[in-house]
Amino acid sequence: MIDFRDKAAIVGIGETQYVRGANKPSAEQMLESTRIAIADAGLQPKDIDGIVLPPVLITAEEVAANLGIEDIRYSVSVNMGGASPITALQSAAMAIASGVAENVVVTVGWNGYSAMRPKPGVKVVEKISLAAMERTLTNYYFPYGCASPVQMYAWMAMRHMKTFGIENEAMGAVAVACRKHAQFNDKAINRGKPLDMEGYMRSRMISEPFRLYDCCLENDGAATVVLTSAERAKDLPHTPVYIMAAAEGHPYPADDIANRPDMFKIGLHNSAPKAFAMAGVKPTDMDFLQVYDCFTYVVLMQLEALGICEQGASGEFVKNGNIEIGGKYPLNTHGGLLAQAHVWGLNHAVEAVRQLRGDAPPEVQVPDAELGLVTGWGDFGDGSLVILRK
Amino acid sequence: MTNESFIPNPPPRPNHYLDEQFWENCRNHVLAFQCCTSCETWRHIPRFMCAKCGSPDWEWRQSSGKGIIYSWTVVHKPMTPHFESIFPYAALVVEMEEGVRITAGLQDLDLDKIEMDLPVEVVFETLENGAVLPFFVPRKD
Ligand SMILES: [Zn+2]
Repeated sequence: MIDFRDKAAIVGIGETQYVRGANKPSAEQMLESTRIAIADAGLQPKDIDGIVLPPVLITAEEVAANLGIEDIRYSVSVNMGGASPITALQSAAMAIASGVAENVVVTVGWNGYSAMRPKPGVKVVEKISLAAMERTLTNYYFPYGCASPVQMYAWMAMRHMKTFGIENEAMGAVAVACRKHAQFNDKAINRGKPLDMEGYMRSRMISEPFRLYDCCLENDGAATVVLTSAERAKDLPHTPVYIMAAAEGHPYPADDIANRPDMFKIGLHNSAPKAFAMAGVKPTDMDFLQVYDCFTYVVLMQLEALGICEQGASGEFVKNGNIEIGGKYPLNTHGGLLAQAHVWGLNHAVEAVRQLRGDAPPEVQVPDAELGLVTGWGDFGDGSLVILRK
Repeated sequence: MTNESFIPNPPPRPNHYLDEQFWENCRNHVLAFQCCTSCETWRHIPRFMCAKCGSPDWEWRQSSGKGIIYSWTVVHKPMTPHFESIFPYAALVVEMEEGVRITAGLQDLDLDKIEMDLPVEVVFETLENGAVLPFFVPRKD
């Protein structure tokens, strides 16, 4: 097997503020977080020779023209919805390992609050469309009032719950853990708004089994990471965070949830074994887990797909503070999409880098963190995984 | 600037002839799925090839209309204007006798009585937007 273990490292991170109403186009926000990340890496914009992007809202050409990059050696867009940014890390690491590019920017950003649905008093500065699965959606899901992931992922969650007897409290444990961690993150939208299990259970139903607090935030904002070669990384200001492994995975068929032979088999079931084999580590070796959390239940399904617990055992796994700071597997130590912000999960990679640099807020810093993982989840259950070490 | 483009239109919007023919059958109150004429494998959503044997040869075959509830959600917060007047409502995944699964609406059953494997059969519902959609009702046999 050809691998790129430890050949590339994340050396720069950047984030905008995460807000409800940025009043700026997505591209402008992505350029802002990119400027911050390149400076954090100790590089100049002209050093960047690779650009890996999500499928929408900005092009490599636009990034290059704004940053003054005259010679882009590698550019690609990833089309895996919310899993795109973590898959982008795979693409960036491969480009670096092969020598095609040396300093690669991965960015994502959007007006997830102000451009998705009309919001009172908020100016719409751009239109966006995220219809990656358009044919299935417009023909077979939308006509029945299933217009949002909350309704489609509910099909997977409902059958899983009924099959394995998972209780609502398991979903609540994910929501409570993320909210707890967000209280210490200065960019978290839900900072200052704690949540306990009682508050979770009181939240109104959106699409069964999902309550309001099973659903992630809607916000505007952007994040960027900069990767470089392991050799170059040694001379840069921060502790390098090495890509031990990365892999992408897709469920089958990826473009229709209803007709999967096994509805519980998600993309991460395919990507996780490949990534752990490349890294040479086990799921239980992780010091922290940054798991894509557009909805609480998606976290439970990913914990099972990672192999960190048995299928059907995720409800037990998340109990008793096991996924909270101080527990065995601290999860989403920044608050995640549920309580920090929704930046397509690239904010999970930013947080993983902070943890491995030892730069997380002390209340949520995992002591002596050396090894951690970040998952991506997108479209109808695509799943990517990156394993990071310092 | 508005963002109406993101709000989906409730009636099906066929991308090409396969979707058009599926919905044309529904307008005639026929629930039909593709079946591979080479290896006899049924499939849905409509596809150009048989994923099992690779054959491009297929025909529409009428379903028995009978199936069981495979999964569902009950929507309490509609995301689309059309559904504002009818929530809460159920969106089902039904596993048909032929083995394919279809997303569908529910009639004639209290929402709190939905359960996995409940036997159902198809009926056709004409919505006010003109679309004729398969819905399912509890089976009487
Ligand atoms: Zn066939």
